[in-house]
This record gives sequence, C-alpha cells and structure tokens, in this order.
Amino acid sequence: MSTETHHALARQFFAAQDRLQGGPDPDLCTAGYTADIAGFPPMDRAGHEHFARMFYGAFSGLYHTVDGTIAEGDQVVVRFTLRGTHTGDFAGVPPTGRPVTISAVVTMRIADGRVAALQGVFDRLGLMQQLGVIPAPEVAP
Amino acid sequence: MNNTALVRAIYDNFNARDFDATLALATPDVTLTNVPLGATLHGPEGFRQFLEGWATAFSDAQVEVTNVIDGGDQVVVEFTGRGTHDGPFLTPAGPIPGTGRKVDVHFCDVWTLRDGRVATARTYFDAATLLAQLGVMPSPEAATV
Repeated sequence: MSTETHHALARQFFAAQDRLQGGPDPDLCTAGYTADIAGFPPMDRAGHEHFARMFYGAFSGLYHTVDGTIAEGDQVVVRFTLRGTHTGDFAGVPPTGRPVTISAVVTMRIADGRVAALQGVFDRLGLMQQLGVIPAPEVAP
Repeated sequence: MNNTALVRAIYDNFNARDFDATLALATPDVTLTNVPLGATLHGPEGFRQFLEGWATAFSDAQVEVTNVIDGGDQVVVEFTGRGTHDGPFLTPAGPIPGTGRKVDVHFCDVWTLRDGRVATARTYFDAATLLAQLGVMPSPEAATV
C-alpha cells in the first residue's frame, strides 16, 4: 500500500468519525486496533468509540478539519482541528454554549489497509480553558 | 545530511545544550509554535529563546526520540521529555517558579524543511499533564474526563 493511499485513509478515518458521530469506523480499523491519547489510559476500538461519542454528545456540530498529513512507510501523521459548540454535559461540565477549537496531532500505524494503532495529543488544557472550568495555572507570589 | 538526520541532530544538540549547532540548521525566518500554550517565536533568536526556555525551567532536561516519520519536506518527531522543574517555566499566565518536581511528558513536533534547513516547528504536547505533574493544576482525572 502506498503512502498516497495512507494519506487518503487518514482523511477517511476522521470523515467517518464525523459521519458516525463517534467511531472510529470498524471497517477502517484492524481487529486489534489500539488508541493511546495523551492523558488517558490506552483504549481498544470500542473504548475509543465510547470516548468519541462523549465528545460528539457534548459538542454539537463537532467536526474535524484536516490541516495536513505526513506519511512514511507504514505511518501517517495527521494534524487536525476540531470545532464544535458545547451544548451537552461534558465530563461533569454543564453546557456553556461556547464554541470550542481544539488542535490535535495523531500518528497512525497502518496494516493491511487499515488503521492498527493511533497515538495522539490534543489540547486538553486549551479545551478546559475555553469552557472556563480550568483557571490559569496557580502562580505562586 | 538527510532530513531525518538533520532533525534528529536538534534533539541530540538539546541534550548537549549545544544551541548554536541547532541554530546553524535553521532558516533565518524559522518559526517555532508551542501549540498548547499558543505562543510563536520567530527567527534564530526566537529559536534560542524556545530552547533556553525549556532548559532553564528544567535544567537537567533530556529528550528521548521515540519515533521519526520523514515525509520529505515535513518530518515528525515523537519524543519523551524528562526533567526536574528547577527554574521558571514561562506560560501565558506568567512564569511558574521551580517546584522541584520531575516531569515525564510525551511530545510530537512537526517540522517543515526548506533548502536543507528547518523552517517551521509546531510542538504538540498535553499541557494539562505537564501542569498536573508540576502540581499547579488539579490532576487530569479530577479536572477532565
């Protein structure tokens, strides 16, 4: 499978999440798919779906914009931005009606034309600050 | 020097605190963006400030590259940064004075290259984890999901 195909698969992966309002799409993942997102315990595909549904449930109109993809060998990196509006309960934070913009980067490992592993970092701090629930860091006087 | 070797050298140079060697690998209009802290630094002096900022906040900091994806004019480096917070860590909310705490944080840098030099860097990391490790923010479990 060429790196060109990997760029396309990476875009398809996030488009499918937006379409399914959750995902990742099982058809795009290997059976042993794993997701490792900074700040969270490692997840299997079902765990990632639970995680994703929580976001789609809390942020209406949530969608991914792919800002760039970089591929070599069996790996593809995706930079993307998530945008939505906080209209549902999110991790105990009642809806604020605020729009949010979240920057993220993930590295995917591809096997047999499917995503076998995903490792990602998203701006969790920025998200909680945009929701107004995390104050600026406490700076000692 | 190929792109992977060039970019890897930046991490070796950081561990050796040889910032001049790194600046020689950058374009004159290089930009460094710290994505979670929303800060962009420009030019070789900005690059030096970026590197010295980390080295000042964590004087024993060492980075360990765990993955490199060479996409031609873009190279991605995943690495772990470890160190002791014994100097001021600059944030948009102001400096956080040394706490004496040890941190261990996963980073992902996205570099673009031009004319055999690095032209831009975007550094992604989970600032919530870093601040929790410094003890200046509630633990991520308590604060988020």
